[in-house]
Amino acid sequence: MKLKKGGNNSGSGTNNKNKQKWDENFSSSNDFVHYHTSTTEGDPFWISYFRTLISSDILHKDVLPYLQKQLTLKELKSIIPIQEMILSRDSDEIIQNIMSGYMAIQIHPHDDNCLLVNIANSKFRDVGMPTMEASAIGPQVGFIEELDTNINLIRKRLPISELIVKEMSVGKLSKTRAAVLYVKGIADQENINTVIQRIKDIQYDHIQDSSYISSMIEDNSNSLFPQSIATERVDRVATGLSEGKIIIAADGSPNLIILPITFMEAFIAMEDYSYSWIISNFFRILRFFAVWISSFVTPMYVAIMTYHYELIPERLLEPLVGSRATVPFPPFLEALFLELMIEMVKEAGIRLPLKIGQSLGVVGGIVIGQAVVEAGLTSNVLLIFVGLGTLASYTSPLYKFSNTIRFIKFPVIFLAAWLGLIGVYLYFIFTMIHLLRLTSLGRPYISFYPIRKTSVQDLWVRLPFSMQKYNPKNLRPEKKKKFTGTKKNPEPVNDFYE
Amino acid sequence: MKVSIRHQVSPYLVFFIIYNSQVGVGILSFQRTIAEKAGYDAWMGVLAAGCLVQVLIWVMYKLLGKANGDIIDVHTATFGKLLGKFLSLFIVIYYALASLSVMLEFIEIIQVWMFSAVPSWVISALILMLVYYCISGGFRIVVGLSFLSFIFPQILILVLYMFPLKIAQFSNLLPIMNHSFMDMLDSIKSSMYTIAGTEALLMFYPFIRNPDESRKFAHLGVLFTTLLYTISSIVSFTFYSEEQLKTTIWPELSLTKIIKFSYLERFEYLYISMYLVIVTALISLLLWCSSRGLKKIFNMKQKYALLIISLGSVLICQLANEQFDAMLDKYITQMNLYAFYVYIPLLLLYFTLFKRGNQSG
Repeated sequence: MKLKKGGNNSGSGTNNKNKQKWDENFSSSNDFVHYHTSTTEGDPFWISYFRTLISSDILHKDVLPYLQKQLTLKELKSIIPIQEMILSRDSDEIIQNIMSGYMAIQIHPHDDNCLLVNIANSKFRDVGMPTMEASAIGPQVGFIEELDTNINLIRKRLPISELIVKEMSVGKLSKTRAAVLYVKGIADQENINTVIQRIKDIQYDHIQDSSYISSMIEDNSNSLFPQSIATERVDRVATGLSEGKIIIAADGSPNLIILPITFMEAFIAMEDYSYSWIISNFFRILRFFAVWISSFVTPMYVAIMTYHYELIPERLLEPLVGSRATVPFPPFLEALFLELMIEMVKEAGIRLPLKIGQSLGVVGGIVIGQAVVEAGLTSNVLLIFVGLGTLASYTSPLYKFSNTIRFIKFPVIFLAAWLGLIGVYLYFIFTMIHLLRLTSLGRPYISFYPIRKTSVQDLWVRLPFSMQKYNPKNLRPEKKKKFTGTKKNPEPVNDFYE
Repeated sequence: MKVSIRHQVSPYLVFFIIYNSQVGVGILSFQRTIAEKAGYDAWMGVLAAGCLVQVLIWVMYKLLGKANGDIIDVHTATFGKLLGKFLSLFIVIYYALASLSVMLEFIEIIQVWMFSAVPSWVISALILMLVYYCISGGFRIVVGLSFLSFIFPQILILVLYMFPLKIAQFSNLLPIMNHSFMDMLDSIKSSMYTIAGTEALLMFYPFIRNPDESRKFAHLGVLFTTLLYTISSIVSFTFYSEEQLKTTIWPELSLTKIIKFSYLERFEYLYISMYLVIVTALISLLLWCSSRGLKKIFNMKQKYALLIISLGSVLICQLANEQFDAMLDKYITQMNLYAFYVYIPLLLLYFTLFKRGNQSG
């Protein structure tokens, strides 16, 4: 094996100059391999590849045996038993493909013409359970870091030719493969064009995750509220596609982006569709209220204990004041202290390895919490409220959204300490106006204004499947109906089954 | 000047705009003013005033439908540029003053009931910041806030009438019609300003997607508010004695004091803060109207128009005293009565004749 040092004076034209450049760049990396396949100098076939990008198994089994005879590149192309092969003389294409795990086969070391053979090593973790969006029942498959596997998972669930995959490369340095998926005939063409255009407009060096893309193409990137869903659940993606939503997948990211969405979708768990519609409605509404509780319970405590203790009846006020009797701080500081402490416990729990994190949770949550109350730094009642709020914030099935909920209470605590209930309501109105103004792909984000009939079927509540007749109208789907049957079961003519 | 369909709202939303334009802080105190002369019969005055508003809606739709634009277009088409703009300015100033009076009244409530020490400019500046944020999102957001103010506090507030009705003395209302016609007229007159607000239609008409279809929703909206005011006055009349009513400044607010749960007392604190949603929505609507008017009259950016009005409002809120409040109330009531119940019908008459003359000539 000989390492080739840069191309010298052979050949002419622009292509060669480019090649000279790639040769130089390549050969300064130690994992780049460039050698002649036969022992005699006159024989054909120089091959070059990155040792770290390819699978030597494939190389030795499927490629090298065919390189012994004297053949043209075209003939070679027809006999090597590998599907992805390109004959190319475009040096940009050659560089790009070698960088993604192809090998280049040349007859002479400085030929323009190359046969590019895909022998990339694709070792990734296996398809596993969705870790952040677990569910008790329903499919237990989550996406992984490889784009092709992810698309394979989706295609298995929607085996129709209308499922279109548009691939493009994003990021000047990372050259991340991103794919836009949609179902032709259901998704709105305007939405599709917007998404593709926005992704093409991205000018950023490295895209490490699909979240980079989503935050770059969101309508309002200053908003706290996520305007797209990042999910690792295959069923969520497939449902979205069949309703007319658009999916963005990026190579190297187990989270797929769903667009456009509405505010209420943060309360939908895929499990909802596995239960009876009555039960799932109960949980969906519970989650909705949990979010309000989580963001407003501590501020309300601060407002009421600071200014409006008359609101609380005497008999309830006694335990409230009693538990606060030894606390030396005003309610504002007390609440802020406890909220920040809980945030710290949570943050440390995430950063630490799983096993340490667990024991830290016990130390942080129970030991410190109990000690703080016993030391008289905060009141018992507030500890209950803060704990409740923290619990409630995690009921949302979307992790990004629960972070939003956990954050938005801090400004309210300040306002509540300043203007009491008026401050709390000022913030409420602000949030509402903000939600009214938000759009996702230009479609209204807040889901109850303007009122849509389809939101009643499966957004605020979930009606039985037989009553979910239409695709969500806010997506402007080209295909309006999703349920074409009449009734679920023909009822017997006589009642009481005579 | 045609409004693009992206910024228009669906016809049914007119219900919420009309509702919101009519319900402000007036509902908290009007029971006292209407009962001054007509006593317990005043609730019929509210109904009668509601009928008058229905007529006004009909007149406004007729006028704006003919011109196919807002009041400023009507004015310029009728009186030419200069005089037309001058008259429009008058209407635009009315909107700004109306929002100012709502703001002053609400600040007074906050200062009397909740925070006596908070300076007026703080509250007004905070509310106007929200209003600015709302209006800068366009008319659809303004309507969205109206819609929201109906869904969130208004329906809840309706349910709360249950509590005073439990101990209501309906015999208070009897005998019906024992007041003179002039007393009744007085109650109608004082209801008129409380129930006013539909004038906003003169500005937002071009923003409705199918104006003809929206007509019935506008009438429904007025019907709803008329019933709301009637029920509210009946609830107060059956709760207070006539003497009590005369000395209670905010009868509706004092009513909420009797709401008691095992975990909640003195409900008026919550009530007033919930009312903030309704007040912000109303001020947003009125200031949207006036800033858009200024934009059209002076060809300025709506942003600057709104900023000027807002800063002026904050300043006046801080400087205003009781005399100013009373004077403002008096003038606005007069303006409302003459501008919309006398001038607008006359304008319709003139506009119809003028148009006809134009076509034949």
